[in-house]
Amino acid sequence: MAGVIELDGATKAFDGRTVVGDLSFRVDAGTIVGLIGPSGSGKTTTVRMVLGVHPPDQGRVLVFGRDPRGFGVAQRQRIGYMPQHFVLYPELSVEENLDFMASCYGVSIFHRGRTVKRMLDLVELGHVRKRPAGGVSGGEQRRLELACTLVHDPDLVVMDEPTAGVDPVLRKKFWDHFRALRDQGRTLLVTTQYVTEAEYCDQVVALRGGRLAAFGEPDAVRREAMGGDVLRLQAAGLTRQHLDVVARQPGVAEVVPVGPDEIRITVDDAGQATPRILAALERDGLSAQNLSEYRPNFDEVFVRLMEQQDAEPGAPPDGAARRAAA
Amino acid sequence: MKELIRIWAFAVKELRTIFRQKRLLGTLVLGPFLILLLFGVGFKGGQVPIRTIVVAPGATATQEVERYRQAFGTGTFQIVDVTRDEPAARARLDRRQVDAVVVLPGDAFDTIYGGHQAQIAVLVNEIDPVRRSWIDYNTFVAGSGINRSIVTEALREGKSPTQQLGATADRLDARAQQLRADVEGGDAAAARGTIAQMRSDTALARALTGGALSSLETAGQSLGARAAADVVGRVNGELDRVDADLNALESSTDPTQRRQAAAQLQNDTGALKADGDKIAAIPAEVLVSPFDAKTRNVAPNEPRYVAFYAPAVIALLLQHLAITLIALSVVRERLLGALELFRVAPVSTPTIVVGKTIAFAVVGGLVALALVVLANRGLGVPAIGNVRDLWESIGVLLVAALGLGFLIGVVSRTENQAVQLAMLSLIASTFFGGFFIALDQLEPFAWALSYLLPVTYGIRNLQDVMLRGAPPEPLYLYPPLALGLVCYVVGTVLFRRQLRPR
Repeated sequence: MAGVIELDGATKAFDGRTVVGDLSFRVDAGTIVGLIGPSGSGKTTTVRMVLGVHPPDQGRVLVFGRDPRGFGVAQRQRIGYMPQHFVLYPELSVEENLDFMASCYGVSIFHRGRTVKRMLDLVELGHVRKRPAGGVSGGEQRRLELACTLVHDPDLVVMDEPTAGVDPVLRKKFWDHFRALRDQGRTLLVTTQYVTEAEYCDQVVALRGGRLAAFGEPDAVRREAMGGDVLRLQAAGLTRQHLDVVARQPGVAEVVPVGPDEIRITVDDAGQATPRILAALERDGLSAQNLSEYRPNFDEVFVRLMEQQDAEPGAPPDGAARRAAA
Repeated sequence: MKELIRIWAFAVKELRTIFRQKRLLGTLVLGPFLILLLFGVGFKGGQVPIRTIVVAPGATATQEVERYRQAFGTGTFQIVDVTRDEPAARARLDRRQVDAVVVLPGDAFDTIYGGHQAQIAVLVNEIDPVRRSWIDYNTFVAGSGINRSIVTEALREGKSPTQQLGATADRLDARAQQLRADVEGGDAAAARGTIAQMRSDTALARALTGGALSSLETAGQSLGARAAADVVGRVNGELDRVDADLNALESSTDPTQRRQAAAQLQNDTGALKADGDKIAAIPAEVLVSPFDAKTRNVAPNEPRYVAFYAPAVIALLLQHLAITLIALSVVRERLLGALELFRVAPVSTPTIVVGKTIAFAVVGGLVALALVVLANRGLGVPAIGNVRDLWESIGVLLVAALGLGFLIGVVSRTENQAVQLAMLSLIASTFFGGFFIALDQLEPFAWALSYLLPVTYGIRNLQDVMLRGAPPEPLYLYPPLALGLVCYVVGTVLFRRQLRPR
């Protein structure tokens, strides 16, 4: 089955500078895909290629199986887009902005009132519906934009940093909305600078300098970045000898001390490695206080990905291309 | 149907944006009207009087000075002083305390009798070419006035001989009647006496024709003087015939022949009397100025200055309003980033253009209605044309101006650029749109610019409809529509280019 979005070697350059290079990934229907990366990593350009605003210089971008540049009214009707910045009309009221966007998508006057009210309720803006959009808070403006994006009930929702500048409580609400939309069968492509938000996505596309750093489910990306599962071992009296014992166990990739009585162990498979490590340490006379799986947050994962990319400039980390192709 | 919904969305959005800005709304309606009102109250119209000092040389007679003062003082020249001190007068002219110094000739009679024209020097200190022409024209008018008054006076003097000639011709005719009665009654003695009196009268009449001719020659070669001189010449011929009739009477003894000669004499004196009366009846002013040209305005309306300029002001304000509103709207949309939304949304370029045009046409129409009503009720500006013609004129102006404004908005990168281009079009309209300067006063190549400005058509059409009550001419109705259409097509192509993937 074809994906809702397919990028195959998509490359875009401006003024001779490659902003997105050889980017390939696929987004299936009914998923939330997070496009993460620091500023200037090519997230917005990727989004614009998906929307048909920027044609790729090389490679191919397909949305609903077609080149988005040739989209007619019917295809555009299926897409909802939330730009990075507030682009609505500050003099118009919250309700009027929503009404305008609904009209742009052809929502008839008979259904518009109900639709607008439903969307205002959804984003909890009913209390400010009469206020000028320029006079509400930044968070409310983002919610208004979200409502405008969803007002025509699109199949594919593309959002460029929807949570930027939004407080953590509201961010959580946004993601609750996104998951609800996903559960209704919609496909969401969301860019974010908050790499921890990758946790909320079904799939993550990590970008670095316009190139794919990682692609896959969050756990898979985490494993990929960390080189496997990470175990956290706490034990009193850890010595260099104990570290060597752990490192010699099959499936152990890396042992890193993080404190006087704590180490982190990267293993191929946490399930198989844990009993082996515990047995070896006991044989060596050390009783572990705690050995559990450690889930590094995505900030840490992302830093690891960047470090790996820096070690191999121009090349995606091992596994990324393979997973992207898959 | 959905396309109509989208067009409506843009139209309503623009209208809401404008009506939401109450200050802008006030400026849109009240601003233009206040400008119109200020113009109406503040514009004096006409030409400012030329403040003039008359410099009369020491030898000029007081009566002559008065004649010159009257000639210059009755027109646009406003005599502020009469002096014999020319340097002082010139100093005041240099300081621009006066506009002109009229220096009278010191030896006018000597110069004229010497066969030359006497010069009246009019000194001005003027850099405004329009005002300079105005002073030149008035100098010519005043000079002609002086010449005419002198000639009229000369003719009045020459009129005495002509009036005496008329009286003598009347007497000759009465005596010819008497003579005929004497002849037919066979009273030879009385007849002889009458003949003697008549010979004396003919001699007097000949002397009078000489005097009259001399004074008519003084009057120059005006058509009236020449006509009068012709009649005087004819009188001489008639006097010759009267003398011949008298000779025939005296030389004949045959009663029948004498009766025939007396009858002939009476006929000839009758003709003489008719010509004599004719000469005596012509006034000197008619002899000098036989034609009197007076203008009669057949226009249905003779508006005051304010009323004449009001339609032009309305047209100019509407054009500027339409250009500015739509241009800023397009630029603002781009700066706001909304174009990015429109690129993705199912919104076509024509949808945006038509939606905006409808909104601003409605606003322009409302402002036009308010201005016309306020001008009509508040300033008494006539609006005698029919409503349909008025709306046709306004509609055409708005379409052309909105087209131009849309194009300006599309090519402008910033709001400042759009405002500057709108201001440029306003300045061009003031100079080339027929607002103050009639198009006929421009070189033909400049007309190209004139006819690229919607206001050129708007002024003409609104003046025709409001002041003349005439419908707009097709030549001023279709070209602005075409102009607006071309601007819209070019603007839409460029706008679409800005919206398409890049």
